Amino acid sequence: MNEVSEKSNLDVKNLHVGFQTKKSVIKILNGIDFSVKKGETLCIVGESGCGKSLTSLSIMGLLPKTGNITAGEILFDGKDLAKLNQKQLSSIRGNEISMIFQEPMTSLNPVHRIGKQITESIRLHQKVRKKEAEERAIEMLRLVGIPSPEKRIHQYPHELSGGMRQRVMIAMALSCKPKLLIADEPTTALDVTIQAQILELINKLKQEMEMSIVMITHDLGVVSEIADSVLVMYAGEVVEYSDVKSLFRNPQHPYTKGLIESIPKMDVEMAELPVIKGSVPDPMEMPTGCRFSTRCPYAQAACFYEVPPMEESEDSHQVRCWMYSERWETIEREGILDDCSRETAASRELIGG
Amino acid sequence: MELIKVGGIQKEKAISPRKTMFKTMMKRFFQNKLAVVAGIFIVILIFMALFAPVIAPHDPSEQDYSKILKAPSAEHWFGTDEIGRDIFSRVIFGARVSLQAGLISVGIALSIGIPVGLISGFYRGAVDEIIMRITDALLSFPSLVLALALAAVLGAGLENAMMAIGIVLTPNFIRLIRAEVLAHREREYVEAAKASGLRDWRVILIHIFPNTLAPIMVQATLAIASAIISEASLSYLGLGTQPPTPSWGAMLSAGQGYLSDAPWIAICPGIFIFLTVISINLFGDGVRDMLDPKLK
Repeated sequence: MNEVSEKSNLDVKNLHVGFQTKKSVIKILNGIDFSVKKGETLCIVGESGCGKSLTSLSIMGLLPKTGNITAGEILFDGKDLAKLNQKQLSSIRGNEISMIFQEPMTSLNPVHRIGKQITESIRLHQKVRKKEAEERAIEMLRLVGIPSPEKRIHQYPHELSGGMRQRVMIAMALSCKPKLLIADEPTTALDVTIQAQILELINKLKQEMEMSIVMITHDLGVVSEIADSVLVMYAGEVVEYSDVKSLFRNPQHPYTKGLIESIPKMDVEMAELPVIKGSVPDPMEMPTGCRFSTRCPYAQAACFYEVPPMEESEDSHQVRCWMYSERWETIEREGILDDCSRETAASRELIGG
Repeated sequence: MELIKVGGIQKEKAISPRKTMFKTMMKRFFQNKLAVVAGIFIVILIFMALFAPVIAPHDPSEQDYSKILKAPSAEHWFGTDEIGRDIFSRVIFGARVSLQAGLISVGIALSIGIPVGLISGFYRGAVDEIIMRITDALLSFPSLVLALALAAVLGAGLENAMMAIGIVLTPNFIRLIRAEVLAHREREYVEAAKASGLRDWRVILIHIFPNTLAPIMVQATLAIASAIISEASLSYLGLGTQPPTPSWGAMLSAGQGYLSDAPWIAICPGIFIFLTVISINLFGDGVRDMLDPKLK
């Protein structure tokens, strides 16, 4: 494990994030673990509201005011980001860690010229003169494939198309040559051809600049194109963590299977697309056992009241599901785990007793 | 190849959008005839105030007891008052007081309202709560009553009257700016600015503030009109400009006793107050329409 942390750029360990309400703290993220090695792309997948974006905001230190990291570590280059104050974080943000947002149409300030917005970040983190920063901005715009960048820097965001703006956002994010890029659904708002161009661009720049990427998406097509490893999240927990090939070849968690099955296929004709029934449970009323149990087609009684541990099934393919536990046979046979659980289950009226 | 094509199309479109935007805005303004006329009147007024000593045919405080309460004539266009002063000259000098009162009071209101509104809207929480309750308290008074009370506490005089009016106008600006900030602070470009490592004050000043300028400009123009009215009211009640400095409000109050014998003493400054305020309001409306992209 230590070996991994030495090589890795970002190491998130047992991250818990809670939101303060008037009455209590609602736990949103529950023990997130992952690491991103240098030059590697990690995709975080999951449906809306599962905590993907919150994970990235925690890394950036941009959680909303009521949100707090209640436990865990975010190690970036050996520093624990969770323990830094806002001032220290400011010097890392935009410099060593950058972020691209989902909405290129609204992520640029409408009242400032493109050039100003790119040079702002450069001049903030690197003591360079205005002229140099401007040259750098032009160079970055050229790098992301924007034609005649010398002219573009004098334009306002409304003069550019969505794809162009996303390129500008990428140029902005990469202008200080970050070690880690967090991309929160960077292609969701773009049409498919532009999407492909942007993904290709991100991939190309990753190799050129040797940075790591954490990409948040709910599009498995994007994952298969860009990821080295994949983190599948469900209701604030990691349910599956594996390298991309292993995930697509052998998806293990019922949720992941459901996600992959629900992708429309060109070669198979079907009347109806398979779906995962139900929706993500309310954070206030999380199931006591496995969080996916309420929607899981394979769920046994035990799944409803015992939280499954993270199991490592193959090398580095981890899954949080009882089916991959040694105890699954017992569970399947008995519907429960052991005597102690039998009592608990009985008291919950899940089984006849 | 595709990229270049996309760029090519964009380039043609993008040659002069800034100029055209300014042009459309100007065009939109000039289509509004009332606003243009109002603008012309305001320009004349400013000109009058700036060059009052040159334009005025008489000294505004020069008393001529041989010409008391004279009706408008070729020598005295607007007639004379109870101690033989030329009303026309006094109206011209009064423009100085009124414009000063309008601009300086609004200036005071802006210089308090902008920072407080920005902080209140950006940081929310307890600070916001306290500021909002104070503005609520101030807004719950009728504005003239509050201005009167403040001017009475501060003492009579133009400076104090402007201060009082400025304070009365401030809560409106705080509210407006806070509301604008609230709308903008959740926008993604603000989050993007934070993500690029900018500290709070830079996010507020460089990214949020410029986006709130349009409504502030409109509100400021309209506030100038109400400040002019307030100054005239305070002067009318004796708490504003002190004699012998000519102020439209004070002239109105002085002329009231002679309304049946010499109505011009009150009517002339009254007409100017009316024209000035309505011009500024119409001009403000024109500015709003000009800045609002939803209107064509």
